[in-house]
Amino acid sequence: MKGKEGIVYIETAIVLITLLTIVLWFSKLYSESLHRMYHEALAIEIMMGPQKASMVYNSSAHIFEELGASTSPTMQEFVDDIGNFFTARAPDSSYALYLALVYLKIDSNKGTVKQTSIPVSTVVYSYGNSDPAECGDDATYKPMVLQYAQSKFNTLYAYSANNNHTALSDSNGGRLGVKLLDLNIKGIRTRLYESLMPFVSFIICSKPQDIPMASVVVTKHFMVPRRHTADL
Amino acid sequence: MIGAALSLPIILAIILVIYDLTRIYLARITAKQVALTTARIAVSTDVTSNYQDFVVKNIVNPASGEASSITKKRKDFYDAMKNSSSNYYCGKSYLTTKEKRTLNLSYGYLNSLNPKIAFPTPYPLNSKSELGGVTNCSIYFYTLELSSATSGGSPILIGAIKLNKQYNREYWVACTVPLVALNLLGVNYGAEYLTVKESALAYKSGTINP
Repeated sequence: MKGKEGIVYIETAIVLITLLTIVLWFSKLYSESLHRMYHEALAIEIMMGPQKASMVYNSSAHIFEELGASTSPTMQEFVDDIGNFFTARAPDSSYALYLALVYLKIDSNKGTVKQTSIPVSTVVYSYGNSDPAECGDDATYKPMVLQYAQSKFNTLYAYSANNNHTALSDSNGGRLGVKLLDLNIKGIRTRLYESLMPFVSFIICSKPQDIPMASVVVTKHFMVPRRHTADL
Repeated sequence: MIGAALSLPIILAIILVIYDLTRIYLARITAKQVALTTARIAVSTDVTSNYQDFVVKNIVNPASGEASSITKKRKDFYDAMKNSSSNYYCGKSYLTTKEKRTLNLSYGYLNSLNPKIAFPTPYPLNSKSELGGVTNCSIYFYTLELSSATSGGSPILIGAIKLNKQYNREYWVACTVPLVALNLLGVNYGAEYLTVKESALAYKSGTINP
């Protein structure tokens, strides 16, 4: 009789442990998916939030230029605007943002993509959690931002290259640039595009707190920032 | 028999806890989705709704079979948004047309997500019974640079008021979930309901010109 009772207790313990494991596993899934949702929400807030102009117009050379250390705004000011907004809006201190402003070179007459790779000098900036054990691992996440930007660029370039129409063609396929003018004078179609197309590639990383077994949550994002006006 | 006697109450308790946690989880997701959508509506340059000359207090979704006194408390929530002594004070004693339309569309979105969610939450909320057994949500906002909610105190006015300036607004959605089991276990200090809050920032989302 005692032996049977012992088996019942062991079975009860197994059932309870299994149930608790299931509960813990679900809490891990819940918390991680919740963080993914917060990442998407933050990315949308960043798109709607404060941004400085991501391009400058050189009025003497009559061209649009990339942001740099001496432009107005500077590259640092542009990314700080987004980074500071991110840290202000992040739900907790486990959040980190890695971002880079990258430019597609556009054929001004055709609107198609000219280059296939992002410059090696592209700098990735980071904000928020700097704990290397969680989301502060620069060596992992900074290259990830560039790789993600590169993969998007490859897609855009392939689309452009596969629809590489001439400047005179009426087809709009493959033309990705921002159109400045589109005229048809005596049957001759003339288009003019901005020579640069800015994108912000960024990843958001966070670590669910107080949940056993939960791992770091990382999401990747790609957006077109405001180009010429700092505010809405 | 002994095993069943030991296991069943615990399994039942776990099921009820999972039920509560799932409702809280869904409320949190709903609150975040609605807050974000509200902010997206608010930053639109032209917020229109077919019901243009509405009284904002008509935006009410009572719980099934609730008393008219509770419905009145839901309507009182809108007064709380305009009352400087309330924690929901929006920063001014009125709502602009755009803010009303934003609230109208946002509550409509909330209703489309789950028609059973009652809104706004009765103000002030005194007991679990006022929730009508369902999740209750309220949408409110703070006009940033104009008011700031202090911790536990009244909001304060900051900065000069400029009627035609584009202000930032922080939209909040607070969803209150009646608890079944968690209060018995002492979670949330034994309270009978739990409120989750989510926010989204509507950057330069309109003037304060009524």
